[in-house]
Amino acid sequence: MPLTTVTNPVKAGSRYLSGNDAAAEGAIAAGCRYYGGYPITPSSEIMEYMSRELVPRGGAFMQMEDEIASISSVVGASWSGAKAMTATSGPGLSLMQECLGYAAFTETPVVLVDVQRAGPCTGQATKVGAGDIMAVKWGSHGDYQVVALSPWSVQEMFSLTVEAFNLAERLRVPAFLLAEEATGHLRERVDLPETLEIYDRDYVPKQPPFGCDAADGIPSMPGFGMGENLLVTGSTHDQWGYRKTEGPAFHDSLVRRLSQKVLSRKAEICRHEGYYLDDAELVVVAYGFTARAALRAVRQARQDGLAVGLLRLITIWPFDDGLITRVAQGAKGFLVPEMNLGQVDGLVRSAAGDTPVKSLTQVNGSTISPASILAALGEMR
Amino acid sequence: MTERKEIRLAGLGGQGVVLAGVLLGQAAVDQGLYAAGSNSYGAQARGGGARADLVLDGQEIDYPHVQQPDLLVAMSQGAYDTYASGVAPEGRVLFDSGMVEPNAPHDRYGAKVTSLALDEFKNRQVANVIWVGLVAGVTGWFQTEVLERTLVSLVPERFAELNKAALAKGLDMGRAWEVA
Repeated sequence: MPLTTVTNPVKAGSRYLSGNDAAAEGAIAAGCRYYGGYPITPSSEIMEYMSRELVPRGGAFMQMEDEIASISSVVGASWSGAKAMTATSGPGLSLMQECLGYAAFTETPVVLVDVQRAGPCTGQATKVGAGDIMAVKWGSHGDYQVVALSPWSVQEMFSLTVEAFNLAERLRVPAFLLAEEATGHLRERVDLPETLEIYDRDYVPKQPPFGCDAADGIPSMPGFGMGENLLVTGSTHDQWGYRKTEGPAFHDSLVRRLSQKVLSRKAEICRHEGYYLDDAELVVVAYGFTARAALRAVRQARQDGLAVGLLRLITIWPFDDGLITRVAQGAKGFLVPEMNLGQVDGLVRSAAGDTPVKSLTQVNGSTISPASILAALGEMR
Repeated sequence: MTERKEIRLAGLGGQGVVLAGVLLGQAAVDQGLYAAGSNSYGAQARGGGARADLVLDGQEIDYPHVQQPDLLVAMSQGAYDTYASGVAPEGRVLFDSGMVEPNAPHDRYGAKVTSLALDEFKNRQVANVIWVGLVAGVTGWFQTEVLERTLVSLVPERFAELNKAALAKGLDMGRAWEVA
C-alpha cells in the first residue's frame, strides 16, 4: 500500500490559524498540486491561500470562469497525475453536481471543500448553515458514493483535509471536507505535526484503469502522459474505458462496483468520537461545529447529574448506520441537533431501531448554542 | 492563566477591532495557551459594526464562541449599548470615554483612546494596539514580552517602534487601573 510518512511541508507546531487557511495548508501538506476554483463566501480564503502558495511549491492554480469549469479542470488535473482540489459553498456546489457525477463515474480522485452557508439558493451568504449534507451525496443523478468528512475544529480543517486527499486517492472517489462557515472563519490554536501519513494513488503499468476482478475492487490509475492508451468517458465503459452503452452487464457491474468499493470499506473509512457514552441514557448525535456546542451542553448536563453522552460523527458519508444501531442498544433516546431541517436526523432514525430520536433544528443563520441543546435534553428526561 | 476567559472587542469597522482580536489570540497561543477567535462585521468596510470575540483557556476549548464575556472593550456607543449588559457579573467593561457615555456606575474603565492615539502618537491606527495593551495590563492574562514579540511579528517593520510604544502606553494605563 503506498501510504508513506512524509515531512510536513507546512510549518509544524502550535499556530493560530483560521479554518479556511488550515484547510488550504492541509491540502498543501497532502500533496495537492492543482487548485481550480471560483471564489465564493465563505470559502474564498482557501482560494486566496492557494493562489499565493501553490505555484511557488511547484503546483498550478487557475481561477476559472465559474464552478462548472472549476470542477471540470480539477477532474482534468487529476487525470494528468496531480492531486487536485477545489473549494466552494452551496451555490457553487449546485453548479458542480454534473461533473461531480462524472468524477464518481470515471473514478477520479478529487477533493472538494464545501464551506456551508445558509441556503437554499443564495440565502444568507455570510451566515452559517449545514444544509448540504444530502446535496453532497445525492446531488448528481444515478447511484454513486462519495466520502464526506465533517470537521469540528480548525485542527480538523487541517487533518481532515489531509484525510480527504488520502481517501480520494485510495478509493478513487470524490471526497468532501463538509465544513461550515463557523469553522472556516474560526481562528484557533492548531498543533501541526512534524510528519504526516500520505496516500499516493495506486498505479500498476498496463493494468486496466476501469475494472478489476473483485466486485468492490479499486483499479490501478494511470495518467495522461504516462505512456498508456487512456480513454476517459462519462458513458458506461468497459475496464479499458471503451464505451459500452448497450448491454446490461457492463452497466450493472460498473454501477454496483462503484458503490461497493466504498460501502464494503466502511470499517476502514468511518470515524467517530464518543464522550461519556459508557453510562449515557440520552445520547446527542452531532457533527461539525454543532458538536462543539453539544460537548459543552453534555458537560453541563453531567454536572447537573444527567446521564448524557455525545456521539460525534466525523465521517458523514458513507453513513455509519451500524454505529448508530450499536449505540442505540444502550440508549433511551437520541437527540440530533443540526443547522438544517433534520438531514442527519433521518439517517439516525433509520438505524436507531426502537430508540426514540428527537430532532433539534435551527436554520436562522447562527450556530446552535449549548443552552438550546441543554434545554432539548431537559425536555427528553 | 488556566481557567476559561472570554473577551469581546467591539466597535466600528476601521477601528482595528478584528486585528486586535487576532493579535491577542496569536499572543495567547505564543505563550502556550489555547485560543479561539471569531469575528462578526457588516458588509461595509468602514463604519459598520465590528466585533472580535476571543476565548482563552489553559486547556483545549470545547465551545469556541463567547457566551458571557469576562471583559468587554467598547470602542463605540453602539458597541457599548449592544454588549455592556451581557458582560459577566464580575466582568469588566472598558470603553473609549471620548466616544462612549456609560450608563452603569460600575463601568469605571474609561479612557480616551482614540484621542490619545491622535494626540500622542499622531496616528489614529494605533488606537487598537493601545487597547490591546489596556486589556493585557488590566487583566494580567498575557505575558507582556510575548505580546510585544507577537505584535512586532504582525505589523510592518517600519511601524514596529510606533506600535511597541502604543502597546507600552496601554499596558501602563491598564496596570494603573488595576491598582486604582
